[in-house]
Amino acid sequence: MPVLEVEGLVTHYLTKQGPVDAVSGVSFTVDAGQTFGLAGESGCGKTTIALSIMGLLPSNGRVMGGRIILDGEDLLGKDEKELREVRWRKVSIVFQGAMNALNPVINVGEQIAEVIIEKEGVRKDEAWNRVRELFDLVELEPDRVTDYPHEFSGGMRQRVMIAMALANYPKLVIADEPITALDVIVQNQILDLMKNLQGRLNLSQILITHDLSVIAETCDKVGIMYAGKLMEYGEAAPIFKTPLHPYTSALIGAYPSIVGEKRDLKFIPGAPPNLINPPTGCRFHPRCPHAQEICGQEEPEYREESLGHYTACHFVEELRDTLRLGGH
Amino acid sequence: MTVEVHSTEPIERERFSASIRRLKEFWALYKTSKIGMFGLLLVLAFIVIALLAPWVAPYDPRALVGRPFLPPMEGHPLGTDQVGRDIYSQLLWGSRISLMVGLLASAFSVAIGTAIGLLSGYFRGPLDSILMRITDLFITLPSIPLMLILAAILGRSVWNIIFVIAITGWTGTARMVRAQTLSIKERPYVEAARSVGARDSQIMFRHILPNIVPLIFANAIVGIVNAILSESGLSFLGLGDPTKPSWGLILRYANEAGAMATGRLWFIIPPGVCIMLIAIGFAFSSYSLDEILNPRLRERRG
Amino acid sequence: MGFKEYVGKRTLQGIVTIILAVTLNFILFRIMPGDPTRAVSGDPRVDTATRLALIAKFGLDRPLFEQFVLYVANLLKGEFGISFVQIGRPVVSIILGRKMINTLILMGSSMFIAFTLGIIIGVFAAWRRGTKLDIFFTVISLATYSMPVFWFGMLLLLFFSYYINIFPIAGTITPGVVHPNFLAYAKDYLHHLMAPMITLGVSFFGGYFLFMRNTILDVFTEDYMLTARAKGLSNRKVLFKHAMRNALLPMVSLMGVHITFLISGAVMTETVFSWDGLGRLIYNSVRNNDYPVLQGIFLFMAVLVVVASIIADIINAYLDPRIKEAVD
Repeated sequence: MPVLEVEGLVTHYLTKQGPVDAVSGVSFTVDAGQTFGLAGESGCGKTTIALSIMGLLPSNGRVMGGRIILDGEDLLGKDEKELREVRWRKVSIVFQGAMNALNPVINVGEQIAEVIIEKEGVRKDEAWNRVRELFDLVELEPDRVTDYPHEFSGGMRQRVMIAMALANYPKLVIADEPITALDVIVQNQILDLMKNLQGRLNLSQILITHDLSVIAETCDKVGIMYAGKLMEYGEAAPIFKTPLHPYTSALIGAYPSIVGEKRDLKFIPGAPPNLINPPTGCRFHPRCPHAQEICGQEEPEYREESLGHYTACHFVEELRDTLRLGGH
Repeated sequence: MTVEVHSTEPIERERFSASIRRLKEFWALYKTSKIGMFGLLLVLAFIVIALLAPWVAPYDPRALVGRPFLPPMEGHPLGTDQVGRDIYSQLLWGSRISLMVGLLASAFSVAIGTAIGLLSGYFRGPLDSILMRITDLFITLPSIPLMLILAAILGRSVWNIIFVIAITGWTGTARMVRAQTLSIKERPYVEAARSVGARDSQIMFRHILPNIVPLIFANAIVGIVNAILSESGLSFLGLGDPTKPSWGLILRYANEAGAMATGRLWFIIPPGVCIMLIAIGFAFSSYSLDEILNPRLRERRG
Repeated sequence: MGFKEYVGKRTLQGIVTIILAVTLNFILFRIMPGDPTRAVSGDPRVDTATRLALIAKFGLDRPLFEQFVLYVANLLKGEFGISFVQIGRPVVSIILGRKMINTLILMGSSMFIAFTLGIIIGVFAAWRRGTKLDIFFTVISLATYSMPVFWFGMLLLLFFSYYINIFPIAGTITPGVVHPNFLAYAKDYLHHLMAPMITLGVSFFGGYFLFMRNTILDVFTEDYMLTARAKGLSNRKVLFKHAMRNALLPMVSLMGVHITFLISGAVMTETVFSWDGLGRLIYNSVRNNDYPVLQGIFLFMAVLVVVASIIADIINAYLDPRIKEAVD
């Protein structure tokens, strides 16, 4: 049984100008021990999916439809009290920019211990022992458990966040842009740490990022999001080798490769669309270099093109070869 | 490379119409706040009363026009005070004092605060330290005792009261303006202006000050509430001008004449209600202003 | 800088402020037009011996600077002057006695009630924003903020002393009554304390309530609050452990500054209720032009405020781990 099944999730934000169609029918599954990468530009709905799963949408956010099944339990049917039970024990989240995600006036050990004590009823000294173990796990000095957040560097704070996310040994950890705010060297260290941990603890992860190179390095499955919809979804290797969607290909092309031949960096012109009034037909068509008339009129069907590899495009067959060669 | 500007007229005109546009937007936003509009209504009502008092009041507020302690009756809608003056007339005329002191004292206190804050934040260094020490001193000085002492020494007049309230109330504005100046000073367009050779006074008045004006204005409105309450307090304690009818003064007479012990409602309640209403008027207006101007509040709403 | 250094620095600042206050005090009463001390020499109420003693003690016949030095010397000896009204009685004995205790009890109890109720209800109102509870207390707070303290006291007396006889009309104890023991005395005293304490307390409640409510609402927008919710902690923990601890910090600083307003409020309240304390003493001294007493009280209060704000800042620094470490 997969750890997480998301089916047809629809989430809106209610604003004065009308409802924002932030997540518009997204489906994916995460199996045990897998890392699922959710990629896309900012504002495409990745974080909204994470918040929808955790039940942490802001007051104007609403899940309008779909199902979220975590470890066999339907999350959308739960009220706040029930959700609180699930949070952190079954699924936890590592936020971006852990600078501010930790409470500045409480020491870090306490912030981790409290969730162990409260959720598992563990005794205080046992809880703190686990905190020290967790610190060890994320390669922080166990002596520092009584320090305050501001006493750590950005990279170390991120490790604290990871340690905290693992405190209740959840089945699923969602990491929302966990390394974006860090410098490159630290990024690699954290990435290695996360890969390491996943192997040792048999964790399932959802890794949310706009950085495709990170996904290529660490993920088993990938979902490419654009304007609230999944453009492409499937195992990582086939998607990177033979992308079926123009957007995927463009994203891959936008990232420089240190190895391999030098080529011109291709960036994607234009900007993500307004989701109160999304484009008709295929949401990507205004920016797609291969767009034809039908793309603006009819939304392409989301189909399984090969085993486990889904995409939605009118011209899958026609573009198959072009996209494979990294061309536009 | 120098840029020759032949005339700043078109730029000035553009800036002016931009300000007008912003004011219009602001007003449209303000109109949506029920609290703000209610407050504004109260304020306008009292301004009208204050302006029309000489014509609307049935009697001279200082004249003895009836027997003392008359209850509300024909000719005296709110009765008479302990020597026989008409309370209703005193109330109407009292609005003038409250408004005058409120507006002027707040204006002066904001002016002082802005000057100190601006100079302190802009020039920094020893000037900043000295001014901040002085500000700290004035913050720690208990205001009413200081006002009492000053008013006692300077004598009883409305202008002294205005002076005393202004002198004790500028510290909040000073701190706020200083903090804002410090942050605006670092902004790119200020640096740009300086590199083009703008004078200090130019930078302060054309670049920094206009950005702080909305906050200063909001501060001023809050200051009016405090000023009005302080004035009524000082009058109550006997430091106001005994010849000018003020709501606080009426309450002083009520207190001294034992109105509570004898249950003279009309002596006690109306003046206090007036003070409350005018203070609420300004307080509500400032609440709405704050909601509009404070970006954090806007973030909370969304 | 370390904590100890911060305490030292803050205390030094306080001392500087007190020195300034002393100087201001001196200037006010010696330099203002109609120099009151000089007026004493010609005041028919003062007998020759006292007059000569005064002239000698304060060097009224010496140049101003010498007067100042003498003044400070006298202050350090605990010599604050002699009352004009209570002939021959030293100011110090008038101030530091019964009246001071009465005022401190009144101020202390009112502040305690206003603060405790203000923060607790403020937290709940912020949590249940927009509900009847929130609106009710917000309206009440705005109303009491706009109400002159003395008028509120007068209303209380009118309704609960005249119309319904719950509270006594004036004073700290019932005049003329001799109490058999301390308990009876305390009961009578407390009975008299009720109305002025409620008056002063209610008038301050509004300020604390609104400030706490607004501060907590600001805290709610912080990232670490989302983390706290994501951890599935109970509402109580989220509110009181994570939010309030952060919101209390500015509150503590606020209270330090608030002492001045408390003193002002006390003056008003004591006047209305004829509460035999320093506030009423100020009022009477102003009426009788008893300048030495005014000077003494003024200085006393300035010192009180400085000490209170130093304590408040030190408590703030102690509670906020960032300041403990921070360099200015």
